[in-house]
Amino acid sequence: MKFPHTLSIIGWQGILSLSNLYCSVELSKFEWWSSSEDDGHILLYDIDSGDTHILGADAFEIFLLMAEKNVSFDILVTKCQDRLPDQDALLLSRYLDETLANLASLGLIRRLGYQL
Amino acid sequence: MKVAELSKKLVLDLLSRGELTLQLSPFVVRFNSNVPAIARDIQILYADFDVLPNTDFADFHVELRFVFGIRRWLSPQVQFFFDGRPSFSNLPVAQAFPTLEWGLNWCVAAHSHQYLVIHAAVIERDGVTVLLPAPPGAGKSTLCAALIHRGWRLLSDELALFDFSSGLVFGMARPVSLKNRSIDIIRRFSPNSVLTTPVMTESKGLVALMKPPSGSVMRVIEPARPNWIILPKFEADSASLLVKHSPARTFLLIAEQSFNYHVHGQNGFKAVAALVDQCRCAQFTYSDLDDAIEVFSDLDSRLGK
Repeated sequence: MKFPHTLSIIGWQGILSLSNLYCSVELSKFEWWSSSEDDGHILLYDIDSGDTHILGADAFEIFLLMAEKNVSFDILVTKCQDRLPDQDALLLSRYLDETLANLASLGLIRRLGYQL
Repeated sequence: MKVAELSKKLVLDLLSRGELTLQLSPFVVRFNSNVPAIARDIQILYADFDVLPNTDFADFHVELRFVFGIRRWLSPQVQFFFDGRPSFSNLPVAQAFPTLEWGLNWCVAAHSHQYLVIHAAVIERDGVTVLLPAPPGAGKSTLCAALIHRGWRLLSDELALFDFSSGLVFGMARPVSLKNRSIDIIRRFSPNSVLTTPVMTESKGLVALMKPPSGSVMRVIEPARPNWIILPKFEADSASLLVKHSPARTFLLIAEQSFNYHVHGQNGFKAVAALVDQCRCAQFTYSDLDDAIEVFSDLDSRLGK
């Protein structure tokens, strides 16, 4: 399932929390590392699976936010707007769609199978 | 006593009795073989290594034996044994010495979990220690062979043994494996280098092994702290070019090129992080060995701060 109709969700942002769609992340199950040179990437180690992933800094920030209880979509949107101020809402929502889908495909976040 | 001090007959005798015990720091290896051809190669390529009493503890017991049967006389083959167990396919007797070397590499890579074992060459000079991780065919061994003929110390051509607690790398200073065109390139680059007779192999093409420099073998017990990770890449007709490489991508490459990263789990992750943290990371493209030597003589200024 693609993240459903993000724009419409943005309209629901006060009501619908991401926890309806994805399980929250347990950070204790991960270890991460980034170089002091800050090359824009973070290495993430999944303690349960033993897999190592490389994430862009933005994706990693979203991953960290997913660890917060009931993180709302507007927090993610705001975060992305801070980082990508020139992007319009549609591009931002697509970016979030893709990032969340990517994190899910890596097994870093888990979908609940909930569909609008 | 050094291997060079043993007569060929004595090497043969010790081998046939399974009593040739060599200090290949940080390990001790006991060899057993009924293949006379490898006695000559051991005598030449391991000339500077210490022979230990047969009573000493050995980490690895390796054997290379003729395969029995009619094939023994028609088309002789050899088989590698580790701790008495046959390992790998039989190979033609002409490949006996490379088979022994590959088998020994496997023993170390598959069983030395006290280290993070990385497929990388390691060289050192005046406190500058460079790890050269690379997939096969990248030009790692050619570059390594050239550098050790120009004053760099060889720690390893193939296996870097990263110690978790100290952050130091051990190497065994064993023979350097050269393949295909690199054999003639190194012969021309360093006419005094001592190489085995090249043999054609199915898996790697033409293979020859080069004797490690005596100075490197004498210092084999000294580990070194890596401060550079350089990804070598041979590219025909290219100028020598040293450029920064993403530490995160370097991390992934080290993990991929490690034989036991997955075995160590979270500790493996921490070890690679610690290794990359203590190093500058770069990619080095080259075609001319003299140019390459020049770049390596002043890595800091070539890459910039």
